[in-house]
Amino acid sequence: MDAGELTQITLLSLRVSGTAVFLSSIIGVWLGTYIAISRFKMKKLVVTLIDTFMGTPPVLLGLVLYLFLSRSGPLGFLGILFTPEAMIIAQFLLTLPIVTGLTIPAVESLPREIREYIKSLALPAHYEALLLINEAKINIIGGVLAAFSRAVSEVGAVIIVGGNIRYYTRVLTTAIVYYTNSGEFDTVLWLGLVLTLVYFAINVVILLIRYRVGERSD
Amino acid sequence: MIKASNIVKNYGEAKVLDNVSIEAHRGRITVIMGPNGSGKSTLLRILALLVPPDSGRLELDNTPIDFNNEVEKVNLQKKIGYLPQRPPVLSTSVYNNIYLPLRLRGKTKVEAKKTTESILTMLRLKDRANINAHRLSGGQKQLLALGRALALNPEILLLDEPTASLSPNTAEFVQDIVKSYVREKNCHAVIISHSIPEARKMADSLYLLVSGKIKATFNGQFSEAEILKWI
Repeated sequence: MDAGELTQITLLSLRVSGTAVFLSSIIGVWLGTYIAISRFKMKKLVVTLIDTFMGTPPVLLGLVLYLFLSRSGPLGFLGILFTPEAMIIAQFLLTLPIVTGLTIPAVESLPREIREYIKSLALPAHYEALLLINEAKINIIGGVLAAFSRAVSEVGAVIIVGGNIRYYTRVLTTAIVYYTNSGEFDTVLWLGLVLTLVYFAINVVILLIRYRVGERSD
Repeated sequence: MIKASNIVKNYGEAKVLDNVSIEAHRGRITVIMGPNGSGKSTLLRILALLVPPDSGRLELDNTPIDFNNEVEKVNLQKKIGYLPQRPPVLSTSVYNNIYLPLRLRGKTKVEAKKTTESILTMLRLKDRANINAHRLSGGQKQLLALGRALALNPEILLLDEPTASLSPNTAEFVQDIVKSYVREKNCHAVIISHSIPEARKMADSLYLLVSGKIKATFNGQFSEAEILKWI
């Protein structure tokens, strides 16, 4: 594997996981906040289900998505199986419960005074949610980071719906699997190092964001 | 007039409010006093429509309030300015703590800016407008939270120990602001206080709440000894 291919694989990993987590964060943060502030029957059941989906095995999710996206499946007409888009959908579905599930306690654990104060403003629900998200942002960022960790390190779902096609759908984790199976352990170690560095870089960025946000909140 | 009749509130086994009835009239300040844990804050939260009572009746100008009617509740909450016991500040600038709720409540940019600036000037916080509200001292946060409540121009002012963490001078300043607001706007005001001098200065009527029950009611003048007899 040359440096060009390694760069292409790394960038694709970031594109797939980054897009998936970006989308799951937009939906999951709002969804989690709405669930946290809403009172409805079976709320505990819904929260338990979300928590359960947080631990969905990527292989199982990949298989289900494969069946949906395959030519004979209900979403076969989209023609996106074995494309980066299918991998984004897989990781989106994998990370959505994580972001949602971690946003709920982040909002619920805000001090009662701030929740009641925001409630007492009698704002439309989306404004109320916006103010609560702003208050809980440090813990919410933690949830997004957890989701990104899960996305960037998972292999089961992306290998099934992406197919690990060289120069097209091969990402760092699927490349590691491929080169392990081929016995090219030197390459595997380099890929592992790059994956770790990428993850470290993301952590540093998130840490800086949390530090700056936290500093402004002190 | 706000009228709460026979309000009962339990938290699990504990009876926090036991058949509490109070009235608060327009243009007058109603003060509630009592020892810690007597249910004062819970009563104020019920008046703020934040928690429903287990039983009892709440009326505003002779119209009963239905806690199950979310639309009615939200419309009424828009008339309320509520200051909790440990007033929280939003994680944004001092300026935005007042400006944002006004904007989100539908005020135009010009109106919101004008109100924010006049409140900050009144509370002597204008020079701190751009710093994060979390960096304010406890007393300044209390002032900011009060200003935020007043900025919304409420018809019902519910203040839970509004001068608790203020210096004597600032406390007096706040008492004067609240008194003149209530008189000027002819609004309802229910204030919780631990300070007898404050109660004597502010209260047009006073309720003493002890162990979840109203033990005494005073209208007009009352002496410190009369209050101390109960708490």
